[in-house]
Amino acid sequence: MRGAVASVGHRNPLSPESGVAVRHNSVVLPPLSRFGLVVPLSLLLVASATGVSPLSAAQSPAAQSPAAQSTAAQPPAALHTSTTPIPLATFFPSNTLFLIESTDGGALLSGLLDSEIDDRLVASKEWREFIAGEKGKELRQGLFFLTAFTGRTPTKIFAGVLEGKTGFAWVAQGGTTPQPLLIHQPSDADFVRNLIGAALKFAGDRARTEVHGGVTLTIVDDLVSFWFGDTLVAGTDRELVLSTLARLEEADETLIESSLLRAPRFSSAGGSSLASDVGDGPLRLFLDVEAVRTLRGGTLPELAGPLANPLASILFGGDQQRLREAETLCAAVDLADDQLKIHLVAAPAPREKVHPCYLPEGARTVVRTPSDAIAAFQAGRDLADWWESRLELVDQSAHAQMAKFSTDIGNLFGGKDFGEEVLALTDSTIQFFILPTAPHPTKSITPDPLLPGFALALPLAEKDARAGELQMLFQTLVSFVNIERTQRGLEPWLFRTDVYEGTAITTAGPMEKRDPLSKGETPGIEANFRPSMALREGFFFLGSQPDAVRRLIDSGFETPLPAALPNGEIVVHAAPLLSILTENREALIANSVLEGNAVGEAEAKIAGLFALLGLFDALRVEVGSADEKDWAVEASLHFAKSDVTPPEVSPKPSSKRSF
Amino acid sequence: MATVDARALLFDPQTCLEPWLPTTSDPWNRQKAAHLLRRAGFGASPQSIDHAVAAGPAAAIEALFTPTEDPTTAAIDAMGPRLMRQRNIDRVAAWWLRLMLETNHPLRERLALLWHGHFAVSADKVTSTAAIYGQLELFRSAGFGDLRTLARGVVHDPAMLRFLDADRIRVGHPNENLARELFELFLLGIGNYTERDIQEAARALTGLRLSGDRSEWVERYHDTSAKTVFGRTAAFTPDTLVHHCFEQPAAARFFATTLAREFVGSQLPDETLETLAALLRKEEFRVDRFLRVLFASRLFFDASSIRARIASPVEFVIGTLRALDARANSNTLARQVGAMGQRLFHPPGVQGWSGGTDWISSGRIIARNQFGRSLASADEELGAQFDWEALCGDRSRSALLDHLIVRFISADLPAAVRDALVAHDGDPRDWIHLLITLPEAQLV
Repeated sequence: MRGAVASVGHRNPLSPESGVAVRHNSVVLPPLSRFGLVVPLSLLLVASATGVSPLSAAQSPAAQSPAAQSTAAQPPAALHTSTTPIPLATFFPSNTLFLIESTDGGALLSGLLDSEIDDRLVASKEWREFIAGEKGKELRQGLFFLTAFTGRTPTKIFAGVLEGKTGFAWVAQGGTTPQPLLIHQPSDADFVRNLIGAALKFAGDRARTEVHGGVTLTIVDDLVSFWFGDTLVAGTDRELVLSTLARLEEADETLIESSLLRAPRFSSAGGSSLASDVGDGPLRLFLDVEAVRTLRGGTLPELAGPLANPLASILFGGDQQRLREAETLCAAVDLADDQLKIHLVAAPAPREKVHPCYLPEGARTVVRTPSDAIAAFQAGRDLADWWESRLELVDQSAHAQMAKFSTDIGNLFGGKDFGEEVLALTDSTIQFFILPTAPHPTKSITPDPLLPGFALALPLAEKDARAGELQMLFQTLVSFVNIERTQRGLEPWLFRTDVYEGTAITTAGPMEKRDPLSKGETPGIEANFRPSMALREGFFFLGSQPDAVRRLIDSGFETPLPAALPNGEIVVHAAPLLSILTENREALIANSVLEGNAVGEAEAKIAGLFALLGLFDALRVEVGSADEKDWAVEASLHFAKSDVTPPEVSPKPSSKRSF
Repeated sequence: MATVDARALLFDPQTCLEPWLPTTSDPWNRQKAAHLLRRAGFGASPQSIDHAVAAGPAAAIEALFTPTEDPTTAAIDAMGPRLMRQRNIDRVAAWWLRLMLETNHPLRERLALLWHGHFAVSADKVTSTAAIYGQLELFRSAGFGDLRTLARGVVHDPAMLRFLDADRIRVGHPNENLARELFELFLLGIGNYTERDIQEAARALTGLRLSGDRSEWVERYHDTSAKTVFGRTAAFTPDTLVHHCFEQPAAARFFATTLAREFVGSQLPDETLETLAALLRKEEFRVDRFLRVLFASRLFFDASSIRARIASPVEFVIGTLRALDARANSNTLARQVGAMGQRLFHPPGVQGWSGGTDWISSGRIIARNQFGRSLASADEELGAQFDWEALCGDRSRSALLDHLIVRFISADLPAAVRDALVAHDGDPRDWIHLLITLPEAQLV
């Protein structure tokens, strides 16, 4: 869909109709100005203004710059001899840790700045506090000047500056603090050059120039920058900037291929396949995990820490461990007219280091997702294998949590080995569904909070042969509930069996004559539950309500081609999720108040959450098939449909403009 | 000897409850107003204290009993049932702490907290969030009025019945637990009953039943025969038994002592307690009427009553936050108050919390210190929100320190302590931590 006009009937949250401009091939960038980065950026721009004519080919300083050559890293020998255009990636050093690459930052920024999201950010407390502060004052003055100078709105100024190809990197340049490096090829270099030239005057004594070979360096405080043809290079580490200059000089301007901005390590040309795997979206991010880990003394908990718990180990089958041990991460972000796509590829550590718990490849039967499901999770996992290797799959910090879980499970299934005698009853795929809430049988009460229905579907290892054991496990689970109920003086749940579409559904709950609640029972969260189970066609269904099990029976089964079955998949539909959240609005506000928000703030936050959810239709996250080498995640966020027809997108401004 | 004479006069049963009248040497000022708001509530911001000073003592006391409409209090109050239904007792505790922090009627919550410790039950045994919440609502609604009504409510309270294993007592199978605690811990105190009274009272309590989260009195299970309790023979029921307890002289004395310990703080001579008991009887066991007189009395405003009691963890935490006009994550507050020894809805036994120096044992004082550090260091988990910039204003460092001293201590500090604080040349926000961990700040 990339490159197409926003389709009628789709409400794009970044569309002009909703106050957001749709720019094709554009992606969402964080609003730099909103995170205090405008000031550094403006300084960068000021620092980069040379006020001198760009270098021409005739002025190529390659032969005139012995000093520069002496300090520069030697480019690959091929650069000296080949007449093939040299990818701009070559000019990022090989020790680049993190690179953001954009092919049209201007469109992204103007799309974002015109968006509803932008309006919300501007209305946020954080922004109001920032703009009222000292840095905000500097920003206000800067914007006033720029607006007066160019006759353009701030949005258009920034879009004009960023339009083009941009690579922004953090480079391990000695020490432990990575240094930033910008290589920017604006579409309208004259506009940027003139703007910077004018702004530089305001830097006063802080700005100075220095001729290095044939190139004029502009230095403002720590920022060093220069123009090489229409390419702007800037950074805070002088040596890094000069070595970049040396590489450019070696290459010859005429041979520079500007279509690729990736650093060698992330580039196909550099020998890695990651860059091609990640695709060519308009915004790409590359992270050299191994180098960052080395720089930080071998630790990088941010990557896997939040996922290093028992539940995540089931969901990801050990992939979170692989993620932590990955060498590189690449992500491509793409904004089409009806969805935002993120494609993440990781090159993990050798596979034998981890135990992924994936199942052998091949076709397998799964439960078809009910059409009205709020969310569905599906993964191919060998649960018994997962249990066996659980301590390898979770972070050491989660071992205590896992040990407690093991103890609790041991108590629950006393006398049975949970892995060999319980989980081994199941086979291949685990599926979990969140389904719409079914009305309570007696309709005289609405549970509060109102929860959706939950259902688990597990294929059995030996079809119905072990049905009796599963039935017994279900009864054991319910007996634990009954112990607690009896302690509270409530009547225990009883079992009843109904036949639906030829399948017996066993349900635990209060006696029908006492429904919906046991005598004297105050309605609460537990009124949502009437746990039910069924066995059908070799599958074990466990639902929070009988209706959840009935829905799975209604959905039936399918056997997709192996290629269509990812390792893991999560799909969430925003509209039904919003519906159930709206039912629980008061409870959500109360919980937010307990977290320290004022009542009004809590109401606004929940309203904001609802409004945000309303912008989307669905989220889909797919963990790629178990490739032997890389690990990939594909996430797509689909925008909600709207009756509003997005207007025509204005054509891109000319790349050559003046003011 | 003048002091002794003054104290003798103060505790004189004839004069201790006389209205305190401001004089030039003993004026109605911020210190006095802060004392009133601290004892009758959980402390207040400087603005509220100034407001009370301007209003005068009579109006300030009256405002405690007749709060104005407040939408914030109403909104938070209304969240209680919703949180209760989530069946998480710690969330209910967090909600109650938030209510204490924001309410415009702090006396109601303070009394509920008092009765929560007095008629103590633990959620660990009761296991029903609904029953615990129901008991709290009883304390909040009836804790302000006639003690006899409150006590009757407690006897029928599902949480109490479950806690004391009195949920299925019937004729022929009386349970002495409830009767014993009723006499010993709840209504009369040790030494005011006999074993025979307990056995007879247990028969009077038969018929009380628990059904889920509700209680009922089933007449057919009740022992209708005559019982002799405290020398009087009658066919007592649970309600008439409670009424009969309040007819005993010990009951008024028992509750007067409980209320005096809470609101006056200092150890009072027996004669003074008798005077307070007489007042309680005269006011027909109505807590509000009793407190109106007490709060206006010489006894209440005497210097010996000010900062005379060790603050409980709830008083300490809520008082600190109210003094700062701050909000915080109530879930974290509930955990921190628990670490200080007062996990709400989890008193250590039917006798409630011991209080006093038990609040500041070596382990618990560390928890108070940690709270102070979290508050000063803007700890994310605590999430305290207050306007530090406004609090600093254009004050000099010295003026800021004095301002913080007024907020947290409401009195002058010894010169040596103040000098030590002045000598701290770090972040002035650290003063919050240093001040609230001073011995003076542990008193209420």
